[in-house]
Amino acid sequence: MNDGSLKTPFLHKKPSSLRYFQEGVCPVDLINWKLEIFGEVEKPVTIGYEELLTMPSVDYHRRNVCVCLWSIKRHWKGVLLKDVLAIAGVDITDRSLYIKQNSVGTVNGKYDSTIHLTSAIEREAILAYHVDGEVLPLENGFPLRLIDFGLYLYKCVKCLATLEVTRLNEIGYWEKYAGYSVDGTVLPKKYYAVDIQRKFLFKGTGEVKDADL
Amino acid sequence: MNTIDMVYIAPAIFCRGSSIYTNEGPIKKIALSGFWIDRFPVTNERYTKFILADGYSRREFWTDQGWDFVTSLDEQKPLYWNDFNWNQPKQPVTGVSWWEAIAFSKFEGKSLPTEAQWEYAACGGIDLYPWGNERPTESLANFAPGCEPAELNRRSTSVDAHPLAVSRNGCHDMAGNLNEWCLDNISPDYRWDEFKIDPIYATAENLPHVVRGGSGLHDEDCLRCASRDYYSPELRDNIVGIRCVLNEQFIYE
Repeated sequence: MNDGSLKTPFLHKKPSSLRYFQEGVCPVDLINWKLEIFGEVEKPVTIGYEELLTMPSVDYHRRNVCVCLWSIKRHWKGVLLKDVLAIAGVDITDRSLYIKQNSVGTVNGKYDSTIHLTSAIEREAILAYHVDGEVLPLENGFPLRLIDFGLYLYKCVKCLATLEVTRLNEIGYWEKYAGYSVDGTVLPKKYYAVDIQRKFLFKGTGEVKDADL
Repeated sequence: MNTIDMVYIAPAIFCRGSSIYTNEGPIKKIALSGFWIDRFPVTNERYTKFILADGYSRREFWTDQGWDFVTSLDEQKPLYWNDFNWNQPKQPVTGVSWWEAIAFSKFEGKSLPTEAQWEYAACGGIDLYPWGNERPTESLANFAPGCEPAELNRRSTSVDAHPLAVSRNGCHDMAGNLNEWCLDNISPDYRWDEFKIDPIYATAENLPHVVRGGSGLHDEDCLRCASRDYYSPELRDNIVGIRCVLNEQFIYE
């Protein structure tokens, strides 16, 4: 539960994530929801929500960046991607592997995006189920969202249903639709920091740290 | 030379850039040859002529890489061509890649502006925003304060919706609504510019290109005349449109 210490300043000013929810919000029944991991794995596995909650967790206070030029630093809780992949026996040192994420989907289809596996592991990507001390809202991808802080949010699939370990760096939904980069690394640009209510010029690539502001 | 609905900008020397962000500097005086620039962004009505003239199938308008790109598309028309929120005749055309912007400009016998031309057309060497130094308001531009558009389901405004925002050079709709593709590739700042005469930073057409002006999805800072952003030439989102120029001096082919 949120005791107030995990509050994000100016959260009410955050642009609505519904705008960026291409297939739309999908209410998920946790009884039936499972995360499936398959593909280039030793053994395909399915993991339920309660099982995820019992795994060792991490708490990160890190910044996300939207390709639409805003960013926000929030308190995320979840499990490390590498820990989840270990259950399926994925070789996380194999640099030729990618992870294709698929959303639960709606009548409008499923959202998918593929990321480079070892890069995501090195950036300590997580599968997030809490934000700011609360269960992930539907708008932010309940019940589970992959978050790689070095990538734009369009590479981090909401309402996650499957992780396919693959050797194919497949073009994803938003990249195919609107021409955004398949790589999705956060680029050197000006971004608006919602939580501190000011613009900054990011001169690096990848995750935006406090020193970059 | 068809200069209908274009404004002539006489040869000028002006201070390009700003000291607000380092990617907008260093501020230096640069010289521009005279050029004509569209008074308004390219509208859907205007772009229709390109489609009806089979512009998407006529090889002569496309660069080699542009041709490869356009022939790979599922549908040969702008991405938002069938979307009511974006396809009205007086709305600016959007959902067009940099290659489509180049092809359209060639169809009209024109070019895209360099970012220096774009900036001077917007600021006249003086103004913070195209209309002057007054802070942006809804009556001046379609933009998103704090990056949050007023409506969840966005749409563009017609190109003549903000007459008070006309630049001192006579150009409309240069701030907000849609960014506009420029010829230049993006550079970290202007330190590359040694000669400061008709500058253009062109490295490779398949690398990201500058866009200027901000959009209905972007905040007030993006509306400043000196603000710079960039996207890969493949981008076809509803945040970028087209404005063309005619050059007195040949600068790009």
